[in-house]
Amino acid sequence: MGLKSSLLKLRKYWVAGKISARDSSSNHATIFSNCCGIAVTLITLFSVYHFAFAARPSIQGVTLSMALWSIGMYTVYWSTGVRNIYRDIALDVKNGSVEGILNKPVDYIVLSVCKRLGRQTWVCISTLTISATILFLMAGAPPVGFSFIWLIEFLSLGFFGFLLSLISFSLIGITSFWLDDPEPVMWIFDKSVMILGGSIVPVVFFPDWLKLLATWLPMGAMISFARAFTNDFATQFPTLLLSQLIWCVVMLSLAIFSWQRAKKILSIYGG
Amino acid sequence: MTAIIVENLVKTFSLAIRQPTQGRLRNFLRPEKEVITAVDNISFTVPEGQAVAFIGPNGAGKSTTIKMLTGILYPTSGEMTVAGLHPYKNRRELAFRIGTLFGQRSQLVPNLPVRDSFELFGAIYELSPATVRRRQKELIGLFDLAEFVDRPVRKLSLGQRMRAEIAVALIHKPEIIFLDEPTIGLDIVAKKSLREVLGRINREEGVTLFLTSHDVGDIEALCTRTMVVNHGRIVVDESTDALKKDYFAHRPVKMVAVEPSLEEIIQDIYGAKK
Repeated sequence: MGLKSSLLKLRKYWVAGKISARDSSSNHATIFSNCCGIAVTLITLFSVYHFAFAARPSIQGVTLSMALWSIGMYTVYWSTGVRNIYRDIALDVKNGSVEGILNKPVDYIVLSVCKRLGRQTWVCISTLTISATILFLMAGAPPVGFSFIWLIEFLSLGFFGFLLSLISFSLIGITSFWLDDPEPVMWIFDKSVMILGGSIVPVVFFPDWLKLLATWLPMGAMISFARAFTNDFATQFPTLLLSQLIWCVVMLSLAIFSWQRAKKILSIYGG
Repeated sequence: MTAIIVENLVKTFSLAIRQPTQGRLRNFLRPEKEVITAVDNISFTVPEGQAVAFIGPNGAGKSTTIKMLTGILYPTSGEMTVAGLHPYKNRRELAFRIGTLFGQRSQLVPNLPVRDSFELFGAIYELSPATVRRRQKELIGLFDLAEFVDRPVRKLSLGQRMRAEIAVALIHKPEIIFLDEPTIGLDIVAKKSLREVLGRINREEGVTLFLTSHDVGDIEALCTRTMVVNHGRIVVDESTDALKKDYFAHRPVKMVAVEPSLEEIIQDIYGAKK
């Protein structure tokens, strides 16, 4: 009985994600434009790197393949659409829908996250297919020896990075209870993620001080799994994981605290 | 049994007022506050199975009262129980026993057939898939949804959508349903159809209805009791029939004559001469 009711409690979030995926499957234009956008970006960027590496096999010990696979990982992160959670929450706060969900037996933040992930399913599948194809065609096979340890390290950085992103972008969404428009906060955070995550220039090419920021700031820690394709990954892994864990705890505490305050505002002033 | 008990309920909002005579910084750091009393010491009880209208002008405190009764807003003072539970303290438990419908806010999934919204809300209320299917079948019959249940919500007429909204809000068999302006924007035919189904769930399923509306037709058709609220206070609380007798003894009838056509006017002027 206890197990059955626990499963039914969790099932609602799964169904919300599934229905949102179904709901967004008709958005062919969005799926198509995302695929085109990612294809153009990757082909342009990879062509620039091909040109830069044309005369030499490596720059500071980094091969072309390593650089391209590092950049490609940012595409994986981007295609999950995790950053859009902030917009969903901000919109619900602005139009007052959030108070309508409060009288349902659900956790609003978890529901929003599941709906966003569901809504992103088709965009994610299509953009990942496109970017993986371009990556294999222009960068070749991944420049790593696939060992079990490497895979575990890569997946754990990917998992905690994804978790950190979910929490951080939800937190930015929650700020819309206090800010009229959280867009400026999001803009700064998002651009920092782009730079420190190595979306254009891989972290391995950064000067030491910037590499330090990319390691220890949450914006860089979200995408530290992209650094799995460099030679010094094994030695860096513990530091990268520690940074992610610290930020997960900090951001989660902040998100819980802010959500409690936001619920208080809602219960006093309404949506 | 009593479905709703409200005792001395008060809700005040404190709003920052910008003083034009003072600077921006002072307004920001030390804003002057104005306290607005949205609900002012109201008390009432609603027995199980009753259909109650809670009416009044805009800003009278109707929606604020509904939000407090459904656990969205916390009252400034006073006590209340809904289905034997404190709405704010037991919000989660209460959610399983009440249904809400805000006429101006859709709960349905826009691009998908109504059936998917049944699935979503069934899961939210922790019903098993088999229970959802059974209940969905009942509601499709009760609300006459068969004709459009497989059509995407965005392609439904407003009347069809509202019927679907109410059906979905009833998926978990709530004991009380709060309806905030359910017929807003509907044409006469759609209003009539919606009133019929609401009346049926009240009579046949014994669901308590707590309704706010600006449409006297909704109240006459559905509610046996009417509370009139103004400036946050209940000014009238009596049976709808008595209210009709006391306040609607004289019904103003507006008559509009059909304007004669140009041809008729000319005939009128010159016809006699001919």
